[in-house]
Amino acid sequence: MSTAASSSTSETIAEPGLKIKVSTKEGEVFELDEKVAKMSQVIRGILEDLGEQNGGDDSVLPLTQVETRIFRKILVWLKYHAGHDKEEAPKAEEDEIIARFCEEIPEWDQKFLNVDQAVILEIMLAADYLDIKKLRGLCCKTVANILKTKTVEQIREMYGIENDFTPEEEEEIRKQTAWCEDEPPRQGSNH
Amino acid sequence: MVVFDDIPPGVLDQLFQCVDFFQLLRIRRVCTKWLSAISRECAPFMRKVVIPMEAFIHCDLADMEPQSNFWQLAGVATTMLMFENPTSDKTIWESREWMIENVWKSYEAQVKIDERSRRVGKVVYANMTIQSEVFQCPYTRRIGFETVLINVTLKMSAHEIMSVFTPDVEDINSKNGLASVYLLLSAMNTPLTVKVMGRDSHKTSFTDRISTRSSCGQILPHPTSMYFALRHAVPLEMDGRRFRTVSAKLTWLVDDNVSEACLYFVGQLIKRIDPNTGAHKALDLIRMGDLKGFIGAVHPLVSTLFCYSLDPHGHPETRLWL
Repeated sequence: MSTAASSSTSETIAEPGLKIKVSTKEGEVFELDEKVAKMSQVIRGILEDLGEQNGGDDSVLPLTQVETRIFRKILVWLKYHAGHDKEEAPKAEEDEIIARFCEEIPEWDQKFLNVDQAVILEIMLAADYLDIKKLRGLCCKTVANILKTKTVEQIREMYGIENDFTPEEEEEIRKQTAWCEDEPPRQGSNH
Repeated sequence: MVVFDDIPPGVLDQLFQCVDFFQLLRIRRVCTKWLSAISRECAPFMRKVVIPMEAFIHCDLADMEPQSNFWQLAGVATTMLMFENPTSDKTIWESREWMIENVWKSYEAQVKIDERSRRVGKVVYANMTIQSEVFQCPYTRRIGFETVLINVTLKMSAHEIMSVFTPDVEDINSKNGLASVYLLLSAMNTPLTVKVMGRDSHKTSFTDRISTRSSCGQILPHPTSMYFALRHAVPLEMDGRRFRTVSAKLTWLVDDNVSEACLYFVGQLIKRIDPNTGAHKALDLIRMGDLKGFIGAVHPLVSTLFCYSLDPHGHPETRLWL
């Protein structure tokens, strides 16, 4: 197995094919293999709108909401998965739910997402912006796993969320679910 | 620096879809934004309520006051999914059935007092071990209710199943009757455990035979209709390595020389469990050695119990009696 987050961007795909140029928020330009680029449904959509013959010229697709440092990370993920993922038949909603809860996050992805909380959120937002469903789902699942191990107060503190309930409102909500308000388990977590 | 407030509603929604229902109820208290996002009736996690068995470690539904019944917070739920997390410690809960029963009791109590337009019509049990008693919850035995099993190990109460079968009084002293009683007793002493590999489901219909009534007089399907899982299940105590299905095991157990006692026993099973199947036709299929045809023709409970009774301990000593 390849090492996750440390994996170099030089890990290439067998057939380079067409190259797609994209630029980040800071204006840095990256050249991506077509297969890698098209894992983003946004890029795929733009390419289809432009007509694929334009992909080979010097035009650069601007990804104005993705910072370079985050895009570099996402590129590592895209390259790894472009080379390793198999075509999967779409699952029924119910099977997807079961898989979401019962399947472990693959080891490579766990290592990839073993980063600071803020960075996970940034990757999650970028994956949403670029419409990379699988990566967005992995980020959500990782964050959900973290939430499981935290109290409400810890969640607020960790993510800088202001408690905007009045004490009475909060008490009312707490009462409704008093039977499940026990402390969550302290599971081994690096976060 | 990204903070949680920057997360668009769509992503927050997807995040909450990775959180089980009890946990969602707990984290509603984080802020008003989360409360309103989690409380939306149109949210997918409100329609498909996900409850991992491990959630019961921290929650005791027995402590839940009627006014705090969690089902009032899931007013549009149509499906419930229960599962065991593969990494959780399975030894910490011994009575899953009690927990499951409490979930259904809570649901029934809630629907009695509120007027909900949609009701839970499907339950999915996944990646877990359950006793067959969970099929007996009155709510889940309603016509039209669907039960789905995904990778479930089912521990069946042989006594419960076999109680539908007793030899006719006039036959009890005959050789065949005695053989049947022996089979009955030997099977009752050993629990029947089967594994549903992959997915199997059953929607209770009007064609399921009706025999019992709930405490409120509602007509319920015959319990045997609930044992749909036996159709494709692997009987674990029957050397699963060699016999992937009841069909394969039965083919091995029943050779060309089927005794009359054996046929008598099968006839009795059909008579009690599956009277709509022509017993003579099914027995003829055994006589002709067409066991696949037999299995296809009779209720799966008949073939499974027949197979199980022949070999309840994984050893075919009982065949000597037939």
